[in-house]
Amino acid sequence: MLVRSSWCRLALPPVQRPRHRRAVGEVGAVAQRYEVVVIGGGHAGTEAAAAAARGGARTLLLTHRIGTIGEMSCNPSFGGIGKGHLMREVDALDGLCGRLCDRSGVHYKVLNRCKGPAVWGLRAQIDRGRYKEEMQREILNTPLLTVREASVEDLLLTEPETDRAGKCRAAGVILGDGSTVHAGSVVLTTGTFLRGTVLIGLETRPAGRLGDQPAIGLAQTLERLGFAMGRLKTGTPPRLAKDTIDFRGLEERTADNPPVPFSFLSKAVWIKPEAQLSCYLTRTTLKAQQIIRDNLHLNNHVRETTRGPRYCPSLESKVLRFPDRQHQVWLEPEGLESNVIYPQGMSMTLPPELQEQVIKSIPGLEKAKILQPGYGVQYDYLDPRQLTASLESRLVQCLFFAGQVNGTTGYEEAAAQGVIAGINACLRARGKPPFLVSRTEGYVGVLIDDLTTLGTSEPYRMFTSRVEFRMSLRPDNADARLTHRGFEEAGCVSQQRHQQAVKMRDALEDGIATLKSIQFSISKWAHLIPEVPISSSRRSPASAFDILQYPEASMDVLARAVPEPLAKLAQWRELAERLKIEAAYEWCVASQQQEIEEVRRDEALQLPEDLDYFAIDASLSAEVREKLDSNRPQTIGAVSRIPGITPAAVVNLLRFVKTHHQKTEKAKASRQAGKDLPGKMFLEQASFPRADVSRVS
Amino acid sequence: MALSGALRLPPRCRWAQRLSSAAWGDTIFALSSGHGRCGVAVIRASGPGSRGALQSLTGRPELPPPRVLALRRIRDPTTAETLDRGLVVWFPGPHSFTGEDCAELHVHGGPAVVSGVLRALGRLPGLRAAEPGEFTRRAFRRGKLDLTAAEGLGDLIRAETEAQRRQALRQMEGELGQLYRRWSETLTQALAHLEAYIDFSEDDNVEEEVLSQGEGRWGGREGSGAPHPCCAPTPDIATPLLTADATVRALEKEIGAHLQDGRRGELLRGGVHAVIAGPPNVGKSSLLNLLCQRPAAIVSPVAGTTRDVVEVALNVEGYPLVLSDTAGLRHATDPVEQEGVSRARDRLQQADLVLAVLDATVVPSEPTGLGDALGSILPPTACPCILVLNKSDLLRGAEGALRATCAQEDSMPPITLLSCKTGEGLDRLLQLLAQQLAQLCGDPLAGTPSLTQSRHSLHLGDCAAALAQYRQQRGRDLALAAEQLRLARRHLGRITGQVGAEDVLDIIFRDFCIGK
Repeated sequence: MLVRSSWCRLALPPVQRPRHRRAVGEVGAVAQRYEVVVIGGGHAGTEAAAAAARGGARTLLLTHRIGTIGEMSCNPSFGGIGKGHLMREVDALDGLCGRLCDRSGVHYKVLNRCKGPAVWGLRAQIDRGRYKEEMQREILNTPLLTVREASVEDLLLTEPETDRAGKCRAAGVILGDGSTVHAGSVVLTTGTFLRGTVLIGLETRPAGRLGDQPAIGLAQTLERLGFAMGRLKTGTPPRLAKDTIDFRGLEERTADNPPVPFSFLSKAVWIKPEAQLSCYLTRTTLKAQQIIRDNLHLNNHVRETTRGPRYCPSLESKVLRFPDRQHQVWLEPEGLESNVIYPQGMSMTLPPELQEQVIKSIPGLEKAKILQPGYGVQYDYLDPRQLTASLESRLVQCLFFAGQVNGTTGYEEAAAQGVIAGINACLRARGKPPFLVSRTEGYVGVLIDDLTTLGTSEPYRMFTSRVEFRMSLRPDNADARLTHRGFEEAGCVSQQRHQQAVKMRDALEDGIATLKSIQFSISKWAHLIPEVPISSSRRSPASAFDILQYPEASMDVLARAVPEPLAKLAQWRELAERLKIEAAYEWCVASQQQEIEEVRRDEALQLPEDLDYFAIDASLSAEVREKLDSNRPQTIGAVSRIPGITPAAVVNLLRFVKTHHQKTEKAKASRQAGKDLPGKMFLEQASFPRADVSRVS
Repeated sequence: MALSGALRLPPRCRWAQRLSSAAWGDTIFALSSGHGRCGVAVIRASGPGSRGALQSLTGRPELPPPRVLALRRIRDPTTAETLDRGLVVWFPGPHSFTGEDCAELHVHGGPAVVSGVLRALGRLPGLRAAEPGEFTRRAFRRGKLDLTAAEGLGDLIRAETEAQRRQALRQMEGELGQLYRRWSETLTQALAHLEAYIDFSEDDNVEEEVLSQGEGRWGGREGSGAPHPCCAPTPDIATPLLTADATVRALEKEIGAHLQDGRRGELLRGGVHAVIAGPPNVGKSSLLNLLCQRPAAIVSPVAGTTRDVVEVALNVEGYPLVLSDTAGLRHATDPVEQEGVSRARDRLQQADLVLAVLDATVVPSEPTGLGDALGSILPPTACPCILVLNKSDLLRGAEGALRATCAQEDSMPPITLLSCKTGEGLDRLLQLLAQQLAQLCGDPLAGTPSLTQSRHSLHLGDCAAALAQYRQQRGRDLALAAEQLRLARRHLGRITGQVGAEDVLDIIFRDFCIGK
């Protein structure tokens, strides 16, 4: 049993006033102590630091520059299909990015509106400057959280705890000025900064982001410790001056009215619906293709073999893989007052003068001015298979990794890992059991399980198609899935949010019970609500909940037919919407329940970390043995998700795990019995005699 | 309800099962050839201990070259007593039937030799007697056979007729598995197109020139008031929906046809169950005895002699036939005979083929009268039937019309005159039987491989049902529709093996240009 209730809240040190602790000038010689130290102030780092502090840990966030905290280094948007799900889950654990986006978006849009609520994608164009400001205000005012500008040169290591795997334990960090900071656990969120290199044309320079120093000392430390590292690449498009673009004749995409907020706490977003900005669509021409083809020799980034993403590829690779087509370019605003336009789809690494030629070949951009050229980034990433499901490394105890350094791409993927790493760094520093989200509970569970079980050879991005239980893990019910657990087990959720989630849960349960209790014959329903084409073949009587499944039915329609007691439910808009979704997915969720139980059972079956897959006698092919050995799955559930592992191999390994001892005993016993030889026991094949076979004709 | 379930998760109970990594030598052995006195018996061992077993029993440290027969003295390793002189073969894994190290001992087939060698093997550390089918199971787990191929092998071992052998061999060689895998791939492809549409059509650009088609109906109905303009996505954003729809339709048809092959493969595998039925004392038991050429059933001139169902297995031109003789159908007063008649009726309900027997001397001679007489015997469900008019040797004078009726080639059902007493008409009956059997079982070598197991038709039925659901959900909620395709694929996967999410993504990225 876990220790219940809010132990972490009781264990708080004397309450500190929320204040801005800019500790730049502190004397280096004095050793300082924190429960959690987070390295990096990007999307993973900020969420990790805030989550650890929410959980009650005295936390230090270390960054190169406080001014870049909350920087959106690439696209000026948050969310999308799959990514919106992650943001809802971050929000359900009281994370930052959802709330901040509700205070800084300039164009909100729910994607996949027509494809079913399980795959709705909440997305927004964000005002870069506003987001950064909001994030800094949030981070610099979080109780228990200290922010400090410093470079980290090395990790402080000590003897490992002997009851766990790992050759040493992280006990703090050594800063650029030689001073040390002691910590219970350390979270590394260095993004693209580990030996980061920026590439434009043939030019390369060491940098984690244009204009920011890479982290080289830390990369060497990790290598020295024996971490397996890989190299990935990504890119960003040039930025354009808005006032030099001719938007006439381009296709306009307007925002949703009313906008749907990201956070369960937000009733509405900050911006007036009609004040939202639009995006515009244009397309590349064959001329752009020609320029790119003629100048491949001037493009190091594209020619090199480092793996880039298959989705979000550079314009160069799109042109090479899918030639003679027009490729879409979305012109996205970077802020309400900003004069910068982000041309999504134009990520490229040609020399700047050629980038200009490509841009000018595109309709609407004939006179566009480039404010900053596009560039590629190559960086070291950690093979995430070296991490456990709590994102702690197996090699170095108490060292956590989160974000792009684990081989992911995207702000949302980074933020989601950040929350989990921050929570677990806090729990670990206090000797508490980890907070794990399973594949059956959330997209963040799928993300982390995929990374830690399968690893990745290209920047990993969240898709809804990666999620087995997509029907159950929806954006609308993230709070029902995670908020309660976050409050009880991790202590990272505020009282207010928890109460709100509990209130909603109770209202939903009551609402469903009420709907199920209203039962009429099919003919009566047909009479009451003629607009819903109820199939006459279904069983009678039907409940109001059954009727709500029909696409044509809604709580409003039902409330008109049965005002008492449904009118009250229909008035609570948010509840009415969620009831409708619950009704539509009920049968599917119910039929998945058994499968979910199976997965949970498999995940409870742990495999020994030191299992020698080449030696065990479990009838596994050499190929399967090699895969198991290199992936080192932690559970039987993880085994089943390794590509190339046959279901038979899983069953066999499972049987081996379950019956190992039992079988050894049995084998001994049968050898004993063999001495007396009851001849029949040596039959290889039971005979299946068919009675009386005789031959005719 | 998942909602409340999610909120009330029990605390994670992690029970670790720690194991030592030491290998435990589980090597199996068994007599692989038939039992009883014979010229040569083959004893097989499989597993890591096979090498040691071969070394111990031959008393030599060196093994014969792989897969080459060698003559060796075979000795009991504990007593050093020579048991036999025989041939041994060494199959180092993975190039063996099971994929593990294997050894075979070909010894003289006397019971004492065989039991001596088996006893010697049983005393070696790490060796144990194999359980039934364990060698095949090991081959399956090592990936040497897929599930359908393993089933085919089982059938091949049990095959008793030529047609059964042909079908089993075809299945063992993987043809059925290939068919299911092809379907599974087709489904994966359709799913990939659908998933591409869900994950990318609005977020990034799937750049394929297919026009958008009818979307779901979630837009703008709930809450947000205004209708959503996204129901009309930009036309050149790829919508691979049409492709997915067409694929699913075609597949549904193909699986439907496969399912409706009249259980041909199953019939061939398990034998066609034919029931001899008719009024009492028309010679049903005599017909059974005539067909199996021995007195399997008691015959007497007393009506109602047969009380229970008598069953024999026959091989008719390569097709397996299980023939049942039943009690004569009449209103019986004797409780034992009543039970017999009721069993006969049960049997008729389940029959694949009915041999209806009537007394030629008492039946009406014109076709309609014959039809009525037949109708009183046959079960209400349509079932192939052969009408046998027995006692033709007793026909005198009035038989002209009857013979004319029987001579009609295309009569439905086929009719033949027979004398169980003289054997006259037996050739014609066997010919008709073979025709019916060929129709029921089909040609095991022609066309797509047949369904051989009810397990397959069960999963295929579920798969087809999910595809039908897809069509229904497709217009309402794409996520639910996609779920049905996933379900359909899982059902197929249960027959052969599974495909993961990565496979879908691989196809997505091979087929579409997705870019930001």
